[in-house]
Amino acid sequence: MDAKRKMLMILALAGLAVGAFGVVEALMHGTNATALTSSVPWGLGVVVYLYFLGLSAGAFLVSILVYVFGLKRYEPLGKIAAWAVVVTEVCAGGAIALDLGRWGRMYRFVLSPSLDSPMLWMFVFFTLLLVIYLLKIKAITQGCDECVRKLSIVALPVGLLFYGTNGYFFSVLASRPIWNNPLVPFQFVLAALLTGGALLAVLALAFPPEGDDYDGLMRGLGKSILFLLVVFLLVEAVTITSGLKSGKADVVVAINAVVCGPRWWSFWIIHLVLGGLLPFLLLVKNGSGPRDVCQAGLLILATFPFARYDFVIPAQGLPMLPGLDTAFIHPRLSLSYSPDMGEWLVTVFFLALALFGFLIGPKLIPALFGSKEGDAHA
Amino acid sequence: MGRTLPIEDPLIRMQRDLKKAKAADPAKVRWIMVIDQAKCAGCQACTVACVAENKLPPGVVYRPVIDEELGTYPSVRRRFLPRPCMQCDNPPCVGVCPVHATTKNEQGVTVIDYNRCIGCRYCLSACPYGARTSDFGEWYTAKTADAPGVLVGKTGAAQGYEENPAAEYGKEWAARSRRDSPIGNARKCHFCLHRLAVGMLPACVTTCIGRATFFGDRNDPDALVRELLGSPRIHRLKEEMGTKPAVYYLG
Repeated sequence: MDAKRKMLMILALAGLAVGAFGVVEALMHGTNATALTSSVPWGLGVVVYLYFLGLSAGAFLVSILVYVFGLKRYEPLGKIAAWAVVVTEVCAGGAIALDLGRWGRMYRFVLSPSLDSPMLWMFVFFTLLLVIYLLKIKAITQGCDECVRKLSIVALPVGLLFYGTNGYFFSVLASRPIWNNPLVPFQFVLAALLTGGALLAVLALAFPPEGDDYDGLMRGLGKSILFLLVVFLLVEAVTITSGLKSGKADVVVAINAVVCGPRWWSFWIIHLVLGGLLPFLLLVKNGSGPRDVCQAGLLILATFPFARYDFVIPAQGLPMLPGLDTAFIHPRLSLSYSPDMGEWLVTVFFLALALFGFLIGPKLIPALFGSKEGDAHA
Repeated sequence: MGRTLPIEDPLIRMQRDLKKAKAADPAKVRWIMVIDQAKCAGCQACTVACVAENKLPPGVVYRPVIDEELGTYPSVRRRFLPRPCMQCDNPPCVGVCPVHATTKNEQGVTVIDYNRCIGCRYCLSACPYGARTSDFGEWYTAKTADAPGVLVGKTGAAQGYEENPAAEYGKEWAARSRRDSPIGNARKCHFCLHRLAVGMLPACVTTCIGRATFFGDRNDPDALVRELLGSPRIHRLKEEMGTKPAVYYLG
């Protein structure tokens, strides 16, 4: 293990130790240990879940490139991607489970499932995807290429349904007009592919896969990320402008809260400049190499939580009925939400867990990380 | 002495309507509420009565009263809008629950199974009336100095009010603790089903000082609420959403 990885491992272990306080608090006290309110019932836990589930789409992106577009040169990335799915899904699942008021009753998804609920289908596809990728890792380590190919083909519709269902989960909420938009499921698939691709770019530089055409592979991945970034930003622009022109008060207020509210810097500087413009420039310039693609990926990864926060929180900043927010005063009924220490600690725990997972992966299952495992570029 | 008073209190009539509905086939009874905004004085007695009846913890409220100020000075007026659960015929909260913890009962009341709810709060986001609150496990006596055995101490105060459960949904619940339901669950107005079961009107109805809240069976043609539904002032909140609320307002 080189010095950089040792430092990262120390960082991960420190994060796990510090974050464990938040996890224990959440396990013992449930949502009492959060700053959530009945008016803002979804907070940082949901943001972290959405972020990690997006990262898990890296493998889905590889499957599309290899098995839909026939780009076989991306196949080497599939091994790393399979591990990335398992690590990020575990983190996503953990974050959202701790966000439940009664996490101990998750068995109810199996005992009394409601097929009408988008959340039930999220649970089903989440579980299916995790099982598929655990099987895929087993197949890779056993060298069964045919099994890997078949599992990738099965994962394609399951992944599409999973990422789409997460958007559908929000879009069915007619009570929240800004979420109640048919573009939302499509946006979720795009966001998942974009962040998943960004994660792959970083992992591909950290653990260069086998094969001669490494630079070509990275340039191709860069082009895919660039395409997804442009389409994502265009869809976002359409959503915002059409929302502002809709005249629906709830939608206009929620969009204004994002673009010119107290957290305007999150949207304009972090999301658009650091997470949109800079990666675009890095990817579009002539002769961009693996390092540029990795840097663009890092920027997208680091800034996307802000975009998810801006999607989840401001939409809940309006009372369901005018004046309801002042009808009965209590902090747990307030429209304002700012994550408390417990929520931040849980976030630190799962970010550290993901980092730990990526660092321990090559030691745990070397077969997934190619022959150049020791030669980390990052 | 005659059987009726010269001016009958609406509560007497509603009590009679309730008795009749209780004798009817339960499958044919549909409970509805009518709130006359012209009579509501904004005293919040219904809110407080509901909190006391259901022993609601801090941050949980089933029936807040929205205080609206209309017009511009000097032509201003106030209007009050009590907001219980609308007990929608087409409730958005029921469909989104992933574990069938919230359902419609035979009389059209949306109920929550506290022992099944996983606390995902999807129903809170889905309700267009903000009628659901999450029980975050708050305690009125959380910051009260503890002095076991002393009347004014936290232990004494908690045992006197907070730990004794309400009879919500007609069940005997365990003493409120840090771990047991309904802590962590979604909670909402249930038209005081536990009171209806023993022939009593909902707490908000009996405590309304202006007699602005009416309750009864929509399917009884002789019921007071049925009479009120004929008023040209009748309307429901967010009718355009297709939720078909069972709470009507006389505007």
